[in-house]
Amino acid sequence: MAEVDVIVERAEPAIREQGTADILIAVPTFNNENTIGAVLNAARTALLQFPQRKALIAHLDGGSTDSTVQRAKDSLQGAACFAQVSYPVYPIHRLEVSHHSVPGKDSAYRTIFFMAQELDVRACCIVGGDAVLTPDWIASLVQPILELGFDLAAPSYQGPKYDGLLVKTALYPLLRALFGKGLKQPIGSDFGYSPRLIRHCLQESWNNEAARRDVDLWIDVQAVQNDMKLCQVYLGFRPRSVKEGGQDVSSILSNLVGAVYLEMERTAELWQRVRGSNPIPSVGLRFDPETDEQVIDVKPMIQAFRIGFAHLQDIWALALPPATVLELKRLSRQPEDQFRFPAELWARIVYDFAVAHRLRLIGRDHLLRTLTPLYMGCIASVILNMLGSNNSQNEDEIERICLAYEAQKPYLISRWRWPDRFMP
Amino acid sequence: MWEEINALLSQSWSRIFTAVANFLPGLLALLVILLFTIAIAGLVRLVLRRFLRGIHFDEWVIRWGFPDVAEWSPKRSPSLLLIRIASWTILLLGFLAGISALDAALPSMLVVGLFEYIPNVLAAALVLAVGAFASRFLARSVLIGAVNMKLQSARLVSIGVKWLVLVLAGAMALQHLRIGGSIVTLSFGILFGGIVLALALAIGLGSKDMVSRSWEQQSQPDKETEEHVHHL
Repeated sequence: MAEVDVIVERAEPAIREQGTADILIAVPTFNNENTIGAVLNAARTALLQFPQRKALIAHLDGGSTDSTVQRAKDSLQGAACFAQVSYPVYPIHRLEVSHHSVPGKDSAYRTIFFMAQELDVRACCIVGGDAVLTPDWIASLVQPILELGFDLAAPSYQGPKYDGLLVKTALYPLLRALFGKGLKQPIGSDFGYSPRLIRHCLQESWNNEAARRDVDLWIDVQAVQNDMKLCQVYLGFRPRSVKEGGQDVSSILSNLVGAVYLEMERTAELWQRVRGSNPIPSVGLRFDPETDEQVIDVKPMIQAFRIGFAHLQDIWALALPPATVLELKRLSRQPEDQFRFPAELWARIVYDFAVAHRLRLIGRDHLLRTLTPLYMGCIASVILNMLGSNNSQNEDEIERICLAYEAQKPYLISRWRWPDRFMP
Repeated sequence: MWEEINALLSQSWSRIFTAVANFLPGLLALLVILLFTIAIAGLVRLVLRRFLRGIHFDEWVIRWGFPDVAEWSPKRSPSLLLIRIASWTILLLGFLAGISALDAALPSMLVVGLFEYIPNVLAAALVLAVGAFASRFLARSVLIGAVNMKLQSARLVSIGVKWLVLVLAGAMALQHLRIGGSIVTLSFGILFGGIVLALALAIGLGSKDMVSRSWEQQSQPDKETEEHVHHL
């Protein structure tokens, strides 16, 4: 049976029972028995801010083996606006090493979007069931869609300054330079979507590698590509999931950067026309966390970069121009206290890897995984630059990286168009 | 006496001339078949080259996810590799067919033997080719994985894996070729057994502390760093 048929079959009873709704709050879970009750209660409380609106809270479970489903049922026992739906999860979803909080996140989102379309909702909000959230968060994600006419409400989390370095040094600057939209948190667990964006996404094929790798990124690009209205919502600090930690950096990096590279291939005509970038409107109140200085030892990261250079330079040389390899050689000899990885060099490397990924100069998975030591070198340098800095200085550092990506974009365009001829 | 010798000699000469005369048409047939084969091989080369160039075969091979084929091909061109394989196979088959046309007992037996042996050669070549590709792929995977695990001896581990797979493929190919017989199996068993025993001894006696430290690091990677750095 095709995936869409499975989705229709599983979501149909809930849709028939509810008929229509103005707001859909969906909570995908997988083994979140400790948090699901609190999240669903927060969702119910959040709906009190929209008393005139008919709403549905949908719990979608990805085959939890603990008591998540039962606890969810208990927490909203008897509520008319509550439905439990299971989405299709295939063996491949369980086997894959993924950074997602639920297996088969793309299937979960497709099911939610299908329900949203069938219920004819005016705003759809997806929140992760893996951390306890406040009702304000959910309301903040619904409001811009429902009342301000935005199509995508992305989260803007506040947290320790060394959190989300992959997003800050690779995903955010890369997407911003490519599409000209400064979406600071392109991936996450909590988003708001408009019916227009949902309708558009459902018309697209979900059976693609980019959506499977990271559905958030794929939806972001769909929104940008179709000139939809984006905003980011200040949400404060998101508690880390208990299950998080011990993730393989190499897998996360190759998954996410690979997803962006795939989207780059698909949208090459669009991003080559974009110059510069525009900030995205921010909604909500911003509370900057106190800057407590964390002690981070960057030596292991610099060591990782050096080991990478010692063993992987032959493979890097397939993707990087000789001048860049030479520059990396110089960096590998820098003393640890003076170690600095220029942002322009990092941007060019990310772009060179994009070209190599497109041309399949070596196996794509191998190529993406060889980016890890370079990333470690880059974040070691960023951490050293951020030592002793306050929130504003940290933002300046990230802005500097973003501007480096934008400044190097002509280099990307030249290499993309003439990969053989343009090799400085 | 002389007359008898002359008669014997003339009989010998006539036998030789007869044998040569019998052999010549076969030789001529061999030459004709060879020339014909060369012409066919040339034609196939030409057609194949135009066809593969027309469909951009080199680019497709890389797009299909086999960039290693290009690295192994002459002048980094998988088309050229395919063309050479095709033309040399035609030439070899033509040569064997030509030899059988000589109509001599020994060459014919040789040809029959060769034809019977061809499946073994093809199987061995296939095993070797798959082994070579697998060894390169695994060596690169291990190298990248080991580097990402921050192992200083990443290159050594990678080379070890590469040669292990190559030796395995070589032993399998030799078995298909029926060369070496039980010696190959025996020496391969001894080699593998020796490696496993050496590793067991090294871990059990000499490096248990190092291994336990390594496992500890694996279970708590860069504790100081990872405590505060969340990449997402």
